[in-house]
Amino acid sequence: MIFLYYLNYAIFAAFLSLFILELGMAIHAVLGYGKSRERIRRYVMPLWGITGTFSVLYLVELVATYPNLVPAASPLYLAPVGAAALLVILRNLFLASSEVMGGHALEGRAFMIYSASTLAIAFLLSGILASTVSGIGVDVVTGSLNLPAMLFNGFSLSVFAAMALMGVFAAAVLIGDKRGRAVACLSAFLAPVVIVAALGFGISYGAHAVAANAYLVILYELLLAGLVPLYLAGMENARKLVLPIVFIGILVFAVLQNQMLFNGAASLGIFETNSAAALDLIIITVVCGALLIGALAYFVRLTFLKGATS
Amino acid sequence: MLPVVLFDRSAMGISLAVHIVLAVVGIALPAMIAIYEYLGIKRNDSDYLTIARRLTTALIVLFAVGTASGFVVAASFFFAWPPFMQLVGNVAILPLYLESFSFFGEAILIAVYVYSSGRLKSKYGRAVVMGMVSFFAALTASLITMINAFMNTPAGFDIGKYIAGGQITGVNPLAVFNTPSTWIEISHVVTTSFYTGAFVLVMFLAYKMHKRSITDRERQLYRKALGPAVAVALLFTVLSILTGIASITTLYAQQPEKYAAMELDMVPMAFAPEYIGGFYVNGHVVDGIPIPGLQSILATGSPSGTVPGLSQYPQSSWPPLIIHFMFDLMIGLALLTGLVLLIVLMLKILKREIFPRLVLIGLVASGAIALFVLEDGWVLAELGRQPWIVYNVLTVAKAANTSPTILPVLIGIIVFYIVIIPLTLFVLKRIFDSRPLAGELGVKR
Repeated sequence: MIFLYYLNYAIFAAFLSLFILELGMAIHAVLGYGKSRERIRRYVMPLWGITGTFSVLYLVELVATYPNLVPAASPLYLAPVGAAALLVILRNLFLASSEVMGGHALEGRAFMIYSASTLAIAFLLSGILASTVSGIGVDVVTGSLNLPAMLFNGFSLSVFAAMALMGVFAAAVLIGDKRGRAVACLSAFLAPVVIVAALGFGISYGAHAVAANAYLVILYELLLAGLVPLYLAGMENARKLVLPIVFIGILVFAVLQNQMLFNGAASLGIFETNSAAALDLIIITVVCGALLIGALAYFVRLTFLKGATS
Repeated sequence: MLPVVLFDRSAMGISLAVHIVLAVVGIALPAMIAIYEYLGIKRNDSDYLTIARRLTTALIVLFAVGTASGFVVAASFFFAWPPFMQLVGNVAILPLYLESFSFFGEAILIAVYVYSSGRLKSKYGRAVVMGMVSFFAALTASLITMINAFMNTPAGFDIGKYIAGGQITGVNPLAVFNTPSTWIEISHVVTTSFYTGAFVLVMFLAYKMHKRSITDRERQLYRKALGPAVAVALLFTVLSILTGIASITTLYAQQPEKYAAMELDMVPMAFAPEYIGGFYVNGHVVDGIPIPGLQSILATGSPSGTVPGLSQYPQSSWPPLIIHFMFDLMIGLALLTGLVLLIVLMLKILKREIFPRLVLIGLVASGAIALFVLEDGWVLAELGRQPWIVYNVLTVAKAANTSPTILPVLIGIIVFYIVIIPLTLFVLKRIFDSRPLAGELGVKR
């Protein structure tokens, strides 16, 4: 059922959008934490828990939608996901610590460890994501993974770079810090270039599937570029639109992949759940998803839109 | 060389051993914070609000580690037990999926409490939000427990076909919500979570109050906080005992081998005695203290009731008999913690000082014991199902990922959890040291 595929990808896109935003905040922190500390903290602090929770939701939803994928995928991505999971603990511990230290001398150091962990997680995540599309480093027949080949190839690295650049721009828009304006604009212009480079690398590795609907990527780039003037003009709409646009950008890749994995070597459809559980999954997603969106909207309104945080 | 399945078990065991502590604290601590928030407003006493604020600091750090730890546990299940997760994914995934949303509710409410509760209209808003955090945490635990109940009493698919050929057919994904052991397991998990979590808080407060170096003002604050924590611990000790008895009765009907091993019943019998202690040597129980007829009464409601014996089952399906010792230890130690609370209650009734130094030492020890009881009970429950991961359906050996490539990750998980516990405690200590209570109360040492 194609609906389940898009549902699964939408949850993934929601998680990745928030994570990209966090990644951008982490990079801003590394570039000049002291200068825009309070602004970054104001957004990162409420965000991290929700990003983490989305990661768990995605993992469970993945097993729910594709239960028969587990025996095939679990040995394949064991090492990178295992390493990323352990880094998540480190990231959370130090971020929460920096949150409650409140002015303590170690606060800045704890935040830096958080930022470094987030960058490392993003690097692993982009490698996994890129390999599911291109199949680089994956031997589908033996079910084995060449980790260095998966991580250090032009396609994976450019996906990582694109994520980082989008994150830097999105974070700058949300933070609204004028000091990072030049870096943000540069990121906004470089992101489309790097995405095109990623497609080029993908094709050069034989991953033609990534270029099948490339016009969608161009449309997305126009959307992202359209935000720059809004951002420069200091318009509130830029802040409201940035996260939905990142979300749409990730969903574009769902269309590009169209249920195919590893450059067309495998299809997600054959791993899908039986129909009895599928209907229940859809009902739960609609009901609980609506409640979740309502709760998130309430939280955003209370925390960001009604005034300064308490 | 050690078999890979041993590493699978070790990594899973260590990650869950840590995670369940974080989980029970995550259930009980918000409830206690809600109580302190409520008392602070109701009695117009800022001491309660101060203790709520300090506990929130600990809650944030523990929640952060718990969130990530939850992800590691989920990933460990995914990687270390693929056939098991495939079965769960096809048959019993709905509670796990709902749990993700429940956990989301918990995360959003904690964020509301920490970052935006000052903007809530009701004066009891903060207490209500924290109470809801506790509710969602308990709901999360309940939904996860449904998976455990499915492992103990599987339902919702054609078990015969699965055993015969590994085919998952005849799926009823809603059956997992109401297996024969589901609700009794949930009741025991929730009550023991509050029991352990409350005792952890009691341990912390009693330890702080016991220190000679604190000021009278600080002691006064800890004393105020200790009262409600002890009351909650007492309430949930009683409830845990009641749900525990109900759990054993369910085992008697649903997992007779486990029941017989826990009670060290070698043969089925009527008028069965309850053995305290004892060992299985050459087909006999030695050194046990029998209480005539008690086991039959507890299990069946009648002294003449018949209880199962291990001799009814092939020895290959027996759980390790050490679970009898673990069972006795769990009951004995849990009753000991209850005894300390009863002493406090007696002192209260007699209108004497309820927290003399000796009682405080007893409460500190009880907190540590409660944590041990939690771990002991969990290990007992899991060992008791051996050799099955899904009772009478799928063995642990068949469900394990035995690829040697998993070893570095499993070892990484084991090492990381060994490091993360002292690191978390160290971070918490540094945070509290940097924000002394005396400073918040405005008193000089």
